[in-house]
Amino acid sequence: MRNTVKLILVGALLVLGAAQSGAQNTVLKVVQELRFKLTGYYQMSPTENSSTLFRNAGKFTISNNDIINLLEGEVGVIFSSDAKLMLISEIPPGPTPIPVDRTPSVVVRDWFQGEKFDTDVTEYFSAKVLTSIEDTKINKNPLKANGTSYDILSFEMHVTDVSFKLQGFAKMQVSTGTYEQDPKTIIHTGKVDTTGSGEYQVSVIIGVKPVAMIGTIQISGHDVKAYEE
Amino acid sequence: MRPGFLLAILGLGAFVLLALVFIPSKARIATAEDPAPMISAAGTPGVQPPAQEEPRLAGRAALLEAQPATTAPAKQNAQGETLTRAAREDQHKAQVAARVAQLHDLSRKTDPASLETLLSEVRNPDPEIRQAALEAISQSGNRSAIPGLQEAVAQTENAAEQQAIEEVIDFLKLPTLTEILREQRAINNNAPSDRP
Repeated sequence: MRNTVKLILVGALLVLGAAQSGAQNTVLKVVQELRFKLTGYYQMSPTENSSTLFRNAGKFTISNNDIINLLEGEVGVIFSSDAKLMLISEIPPGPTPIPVDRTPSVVVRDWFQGEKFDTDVTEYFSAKVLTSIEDTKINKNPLKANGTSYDILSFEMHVTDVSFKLQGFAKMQVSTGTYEQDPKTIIHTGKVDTTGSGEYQVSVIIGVKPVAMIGTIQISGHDVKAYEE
Repeated sequence: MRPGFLLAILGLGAFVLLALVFIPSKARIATAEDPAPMISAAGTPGVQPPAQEEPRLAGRAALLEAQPATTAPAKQNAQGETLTRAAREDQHKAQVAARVAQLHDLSRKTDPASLETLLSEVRNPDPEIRQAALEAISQSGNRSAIPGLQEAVAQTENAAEQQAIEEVIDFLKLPTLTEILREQRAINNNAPSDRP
């Protein structure tokens, strides 16, 4: 009996150790910053005189602050003025050339009492790399990439008061992302020239107003970070 | 069961357990900047985090001074001069990239000193730094920058630079989407009720 108990105890300890080992899976991801600078056009009320009817276009701007303000209401977090919009791309396993993550995550990165925290907002504000055509030179060993990539990206926002979809073209710079000085992946950075359309809620009675949008989205940064999942 | 056999089993089990615990903890990557913990969409409601300290900034003079003095002798072969020039260019690129990152961080600050720094870099000789300063001012949405930008337009003779600054002025003068929605909510709240 005593021996059986001891054997069971050893077995349990072995299983516990194996489970602990299996839970720690570290993945590397590319972390980049997004900066939106958009202008939206909407139809204002017409005006007229005795001979002429005027249809008037109104304008407003959309930058990161506006996008983060819209997301606050959806995720229930009040972000500080230091909050940033980040694009997080996985590094898929596979041989060189390493493919681009076509569906990166969008997070709001903020700080609270000195601690950094990320809020995944992809459910409300998503990004996609629709096409990526590279003109690059990639050294296989060690991995080193440089060149140009012609990318088409899209961004979609769906929150309570606003929804829009943007699509744009970018001539991106291709470089190498390193982790602890070890080259790990290929990174695209650059400015996307984008256009799109959307709508915003005027009121429950009046409904929504359509919006035409134009602007740029800057994607910058070469950080490769480890995430435990 | 024989005690010797039992001891062997226990010893083997302890060894395996130690190996499983010790090896993964060594392989766990400890970085100076661990990725931030992800939180669910529910998040931490109703919390206003404090502002971060403003980073210390190197002025433009410091950037130029940081280039190392060439201590090589006057009579140097062409290859050595090329390497030195290439190293200086790489260093300059790195300094510009660092300054651009600092300016982008300033776009989130609302204090007058940060705005003053951004406005001063609008006239930086380096075009990349000038562009970064203008983009940071656009991102900030800070309309207090308009007089300083108008002054920069008046002091600039380059037509392309004038246009770039004026575009930022026009962008700042427009209402933001946040302001449009806030104004709309105020109108909706003040609208008379249909109920008697």
